[in-house]
This record gives sequence, C-alpha cells and structure tokens, in this order.
Amino acid sequence: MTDPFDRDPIARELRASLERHAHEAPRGDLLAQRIINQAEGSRRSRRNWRTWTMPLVAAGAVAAVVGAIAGVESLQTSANGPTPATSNDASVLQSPVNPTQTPSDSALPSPTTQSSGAETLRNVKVLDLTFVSENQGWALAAADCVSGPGRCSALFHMKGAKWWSMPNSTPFNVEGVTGGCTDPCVTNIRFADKDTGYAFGPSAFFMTKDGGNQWTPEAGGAIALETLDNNVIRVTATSPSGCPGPCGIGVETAAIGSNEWTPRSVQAAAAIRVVLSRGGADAYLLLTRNPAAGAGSATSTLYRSTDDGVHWIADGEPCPQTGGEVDSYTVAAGSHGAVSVLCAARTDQTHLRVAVSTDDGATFSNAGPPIPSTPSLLSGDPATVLVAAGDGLALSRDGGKTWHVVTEVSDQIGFVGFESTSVGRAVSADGRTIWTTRDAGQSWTPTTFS
Amino acid sequence: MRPDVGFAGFVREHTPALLRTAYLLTGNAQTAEELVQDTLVRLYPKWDRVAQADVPLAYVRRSLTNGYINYQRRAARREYPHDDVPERVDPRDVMTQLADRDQIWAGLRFLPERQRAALVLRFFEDMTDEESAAALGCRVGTVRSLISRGLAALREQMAPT
Repeated sequence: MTDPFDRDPIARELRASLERHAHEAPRGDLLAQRIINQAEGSRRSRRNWRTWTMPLVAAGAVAAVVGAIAGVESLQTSANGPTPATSNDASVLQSPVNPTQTPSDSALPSPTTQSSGAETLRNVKVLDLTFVSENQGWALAAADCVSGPGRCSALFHMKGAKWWSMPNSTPFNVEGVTGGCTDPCVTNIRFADKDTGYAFGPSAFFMTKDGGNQWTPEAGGAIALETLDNNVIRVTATSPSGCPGPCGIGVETAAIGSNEWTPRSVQAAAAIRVVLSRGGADAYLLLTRNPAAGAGSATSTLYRSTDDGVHWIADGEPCPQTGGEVDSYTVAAGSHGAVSVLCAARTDQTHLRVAVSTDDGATFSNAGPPIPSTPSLLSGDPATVLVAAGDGLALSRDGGKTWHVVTEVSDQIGFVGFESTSVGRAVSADGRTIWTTRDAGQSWTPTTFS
Repeated sequence: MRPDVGFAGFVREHTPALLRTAYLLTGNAQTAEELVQDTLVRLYPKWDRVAQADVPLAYVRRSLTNGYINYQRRAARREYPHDDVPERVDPRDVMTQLADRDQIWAGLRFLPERQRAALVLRFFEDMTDEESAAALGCRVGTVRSLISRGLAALREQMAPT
C-alpha cells in the first residue's frame, strides 16, 4: 500500500531531513552501560520501602489519615512500600498540628544552608522523605558538592514552609553520589519525632537523636523501617542483593531511640519486593514473590501484626483471586483495622485494582474498577482518601470504588504520602519536584529544587 | 526471564535507535541522552511488564515519547525560576542550526511538542497512525490532525516570503 504522503513534497523533504539528521545522534556506546549501571544501583536502593510515618490525631469523628508512603515502584525488585501511619491516640503526636495555621508554600523553596544563608545547592535530587508533622520533615537527597566537583549526600530539614539544608555533612553516602553509593550506603530516612531519626540502607544503619545534626552508626542495616506507637519495626535481610530480591528476611523491633533490637518471629526465605506498612498498632509486611523472574506462579505472603510488630500471622496472597492469578504489589495500612493492597492480574499488569480489608487484613475484597493510570504505589486510608501513584496521581475518596486522575501532576511519581487528613506530598521520580497538597488532594503545588 | 539479563541486553541493542528518535525529538544530543537514560532507568523496575509487551521496543518508545512531551510541558510551566547549568555547546547542533539549507529541520524546532513527536514517529519511525496514537496516548484522529497541522506549519515556514 502506498504512503498517502508520498506525493506531498513537504512530507518527502521531512522524511529525508529526519533521515539525514538521525545520523547526527550520539551513538550511545557508553550511555548503554551507564544506563545499566544506574538501573542496577537503583534496584539495590529500591529494595527499601519508603514511607512516611505520621502519627495522626483523630479529631472527633474524623478518622486519622495515613501518613505517606512512597515507595519507588519496583514490580520486580523488592521493597516497595508506602506505609501509612495512623493513630487515633493524640498522645502519639509529637508536635501539635493546627491546620488553621498551616503556612503557605509561597516562599521560594530553594534549599539554603542555615549557616551561611547564601549558598544554594544545585541539581538536587530528593531520594526519600519523612515527616513528623504537617510542616516538619526531612529529605534525603543528592546534590552537587558545594566545594569541588562531583555529587554529595545532602540532608534537608523542613520546618514551616522552607527547606533548609543541614549544616553538617552526612557520614554516609547516597545514590547518585559520584563514584556510586559506596559503603556506608544509605537509601532511606525515617524520623520518629523531631529529634530521633534513622538513616538506613541494606548494609548501613545510622541513628540521630538531635534532629539530624549528628548521626551514630549502628550495627547491621535495614531494607524497611517504620516508626509509630513509640516503637520501631525494622526489616533486615541477610543477603540483600541476592536470590533474586533480598534473602533471609527478618523483623526486629525496638523502642524509639534504643539500639536494643528484639528479633521477631518472621522468617522468610526470599522476596522480590518487601513492603512494610503501619497503622495504629497494626503492621503489615508484604513479601512479594511474583513475578518470580517470570517463572512459575510464586505468590506473595502478607504478614500481619496487631501489636506493633511483636507477633505476626502469615497469610497467603491478599489479593482476591478472580479470573486467574492475581498478584499484590504493595500494601497500605489505614485506620481502625483497614488496609488496602494494590493488585494486578498476572496476565494484565496494566490495569491495577485496589482490594480493601476492614478486619486487619484477614480478608480482602476488590474495591472497584481498575485505577485509571498505571500506579505502583499506594497510600492512604480507604475511610478517607486513597492515593495511587506511578504515572501521575489518582485519588479515591470512596474507598477505591471510584478514582479520578490528578491532572496537574503529570510527573512520574516515586513517593507519595499524607501527613494528615489534608496535607500530603508526592515526589517526582526524578527527585526534582515535591508536590504538596493542603486540601486532601484537591489541588497540588509543585516545589522544584534547583 | 531474569530481569537483569533482559534489560541489559535490550539496552545494549536498542540504545542507538532510541537515541536517534530522542535526538530527532529534542534536537539536542545531550538532552537526547538524558531522555533515553531517564526513560530506561524509569522502566527498569517494571521491566517484567515491558518484557511481556507484544513489542517491548514499542513500549519503550512510547514511554520515551511521553517523557519528551511531559518534559517539555514541565519546562513550560515550572513555577520557580532557578539557575540552569549552562548547556555545553554541541558542535553538531551548531552545525545543524547553521545549515539553513535544511529549513525543515530548523522548522521542526518551532512546532509544538506533540506535533513534532507525531511527525517524527510517522516519518522517521514509519509508524502507522494507530501505532503513533498508542505512543502519544491519543486517538487516531488526533494523530492525523497533529500530522496534518505539523506539515501545514512546515509548509508555511518553507513558503517563500
């Protein structure tokens, strides 16, 4: 069949011009290896699931909203996991949150060093976020080194509307630092309160008790960690980079700020992805094993705890098995025993659904039709707002029955989470932009780092 | 299929072709490399999905095209100005820009990103309207309209004044 444009001289000239200029494109010999190296490095770091643990106050009859999660989407590798943190106990909240005094985001968001007030970090890439209130949080990032060439680890503290770079350098490396993420390599950060925080990677573990100014190295590492209810749940792997996925999964708990960890009875052989999510006293640990390198029908295991990770029950695949094999990709704890999972049929991984449980994860049922996007992250509470993120954002305010796409956020999203019923944040996958909502997702404002 | 083997092999085999497409979309060698790198690294975590597609290369090309369009849109509506690292001058681009004998190439730079993408997919990748629609995430009718308007714009630019 002839091309209808063959007789169009402009079309012919365009075709010739494109052919001509295509030869000017770079060959990409070195680029291919760079891509492979970067992807390999990202796979190791994405085994840690990211989440914001936000103790939230239940105000009257309003259910507490989950705190964030933003796990890097990783359908093959381990550790994806937003973990919403919810609590109905006002005493858990470390600092009072008064939504009526929420500062605006109108201030220029460029991070600056507090000591000089003049330096501006360049080419910032946010790797992980953690919040302890609506307007106090920390960001783990990589940025151009201030003195000299190359990339350096960076830690930002947000209080109010501005992000401030911490004056002291970090004693650990992060992804994207020149030379790769050499040991000690930190991939995630979590704060329990305004003073106590954890920076961790598969083989690195640091704790701070002064809000991130000083970090103390601790034994071991973590591939997931969440703080809530005055304790910390930490997921470890004896072989973080093998199997495929991490191997020898273990769970430990400790009081916030303590370095005395107690092993718990969760022993899993291997997982493709590890997702830890907490809500109130509930904790959920999802170990996915499908797609298991494309072979077989290995399924996920959902471990459930109702006592802050002390005791665990192992269940099978949480997603309802309708019309063939359905696999879970991530889990998001809500409040009052509610928990959601993101599910996809083995034969159709472009249409993902949310399944919801209201009995602490004992049983799940499909909430509604497929989500109108391609999410890989899930955050929120089916009782208030659910956020599915990946290719942009989609929201549901009816427990997953209906979804609408957030059109103003077109970025590929790597992190998402809510700090309260109204305040939430999403981070673009390239780490350059943090989107903030202060009205439960109705509108989003970008903050772009230079 | 082990994700690592499939991904690495795909990257080594198809990066040159993807770079050509990216270069024609962006008109800049450095930006083209960044676009390809960002696209493939972003797809790596869900490589099993890509590998199971009927034509993985088409899947990747679709993601690359969307990445190009979204990048252009974000650059247009970024709220906070920040200093840009000065671009290194690429001698190939300079030569291209000076080659006023190739007005078509110069004219492409002024087209909206979706029109430009539609033309590149149609007249370089030789995609059908259906394939282009899938790559651009729109209807076939929209693709035809984009191509028609893009050609009309180029025709107008080429017309003697």
